[in-house]
Amino acid sequence: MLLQAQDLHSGYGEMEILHGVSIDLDQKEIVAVIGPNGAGKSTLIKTIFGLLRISGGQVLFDGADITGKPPRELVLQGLAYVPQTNNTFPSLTVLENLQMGAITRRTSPLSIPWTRTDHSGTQSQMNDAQIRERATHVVGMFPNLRPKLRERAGTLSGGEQQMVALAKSLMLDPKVLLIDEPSAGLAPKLVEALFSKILEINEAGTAVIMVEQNAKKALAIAHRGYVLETGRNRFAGTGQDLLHNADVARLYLGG
Amino acid sequence: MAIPPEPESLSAWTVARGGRGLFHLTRRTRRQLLRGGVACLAFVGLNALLAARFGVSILNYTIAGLSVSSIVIVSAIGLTLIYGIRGFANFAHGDIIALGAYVALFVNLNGLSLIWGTIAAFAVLALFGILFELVIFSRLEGRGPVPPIVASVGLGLIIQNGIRTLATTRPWLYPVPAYSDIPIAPGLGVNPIRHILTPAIGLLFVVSAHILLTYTNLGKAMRATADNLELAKATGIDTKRVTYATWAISCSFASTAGVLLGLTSFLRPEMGLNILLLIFAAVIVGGVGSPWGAVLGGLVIGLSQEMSAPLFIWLGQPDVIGLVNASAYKVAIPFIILIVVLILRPWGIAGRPPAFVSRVYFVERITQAILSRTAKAEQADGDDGG
Repeated sequence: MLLQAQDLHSGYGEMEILHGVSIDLDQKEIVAVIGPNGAGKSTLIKTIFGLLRISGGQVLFDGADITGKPPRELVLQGLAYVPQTNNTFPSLTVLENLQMGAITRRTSPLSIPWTRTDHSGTQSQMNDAQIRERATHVVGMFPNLRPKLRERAGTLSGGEQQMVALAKSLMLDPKVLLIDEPSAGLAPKLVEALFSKILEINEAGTAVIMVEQNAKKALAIAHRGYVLETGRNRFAGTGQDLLHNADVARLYLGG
Repeated sequence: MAIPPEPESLSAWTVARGGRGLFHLTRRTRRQLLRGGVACLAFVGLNALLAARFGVSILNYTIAGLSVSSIVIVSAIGLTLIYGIRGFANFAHGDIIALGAYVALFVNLNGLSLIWGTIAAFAVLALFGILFELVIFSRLEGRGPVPPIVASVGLGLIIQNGIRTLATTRPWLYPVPAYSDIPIAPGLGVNPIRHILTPAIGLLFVVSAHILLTYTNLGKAMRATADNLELAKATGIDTKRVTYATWAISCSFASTAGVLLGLTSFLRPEMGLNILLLIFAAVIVGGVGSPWGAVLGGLVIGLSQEMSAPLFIWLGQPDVIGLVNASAYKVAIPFIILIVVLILRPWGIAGRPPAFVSRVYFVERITQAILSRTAKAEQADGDDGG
């Protein structure tokens, strides 16, 4: 088991959204998390990624307890997170966005000693040239970004910005990618392109947890799926099982 | 045998240059260069016209304007950086400027030259900046903009009165020999300190700020953090370190501005207050949070203040309207510009407009208001129908 979330309780401030959700993710798997609005789908991946305070339960990554660790450390250990909206830095160029994606690994001759995090057990550091090389490699997967490397991310179209966000999260070749509603606000054609990119990323060896409104499409490409409702697990199974489950179809897939 | 097509690989250098030639400029950069060039030409042309019409001595005011601008810009960059990262207006910035001036004076009075004093003040104020964040502002994170603003007003008072206690209220002078103006043309002279050194240092700071923000990882991380703090954290940027670095840079820039300001007249504990208003005006005119906007705003503010002086002096002549104490009115001009900018372009000259506003701000707002009212009315109708 690569990533395991057990009986997670969390929420925003005093309000608890997740009342004990458990999901796991195997190596090289795509897991789709679906459910109605307010089910706690986005909350779940934000909690796993350490952006929200966990009030109960634990998260295991590669057997190690990562409960409550800050995002910075999780990025170093091989997790990456693509938020739903505002997932690029608009005033930075596309290339700079990609460089930021690798910043946790960058050797920093001037780093202030007491703020330096412990890098033990993580992959080696990269210098600027290596980061650029990696950017070249990642941009190879998104050919339409190549002519726009020097443009500000904020001037790109919505679909291109999603690609930048995805490319940025791939800069450190993560083991696990957490994606929050990648298709939100995109035209159907772009959604297709994006999902095929996600499949491509997965085939390259990255396990993916994907939260999606577009449940049918998500389940169609996912190995397994989880259905959440009001902060609890409701159904779980393989993507095909859930797609053909009468209850799931009636309640969450719109008939 | 056919040669296989070149694999689609890019050298790191080409990628860094946007996949094109070495000297390729993006459309945005080219447009900005063009605009900057046109603005410079217009400015030079205006001064040539003024010189031709009123004589060369009127250019004294332009030179004075550039000097004031330099001090305003160096301080405004620091203020706008803190605003970008921290999201609040630092009202203590004026007093931090004064603190820098006094630290340089202290070092100077203890036997080192003023240059060493300035360098020492630069380093000491960087530490002060980190201290302010550590002790005060990091504790107010996530409570909205008001608590840190109030805290910054308090910090300003503490600094100001601390200076009063330690350095007394007497006005101090930097023990610098009074250089006389270098005559360039009859009636036109430049002061080596105020009109050559100050703009030169201003330019140095603008260029270093540009290099920092554009080419270094710290600068990019600063811009990223200013863009979106949450995403910066999720990306793994060490936002704490970025914040401390920003405070250090902001306060050390302020210290040098303080020395330059001190060189123009006396050092007084409240010396930061008057210039703080100009700095705020510059930051807002340029576009809050944008360092390049602060440079532009600083130029507009400083030049407009000094270059309007001859106008008021002319108005002060008894046969015109006999304005009493005429040259004091020049201070109003930057703020009139500020108000005009706030009405026509509230996001500043160089700031980016919020996504929903287009070029014609008011027309847009009014249309929106009407449309939303119609939409609401329709919705109400629909509800009745349903």
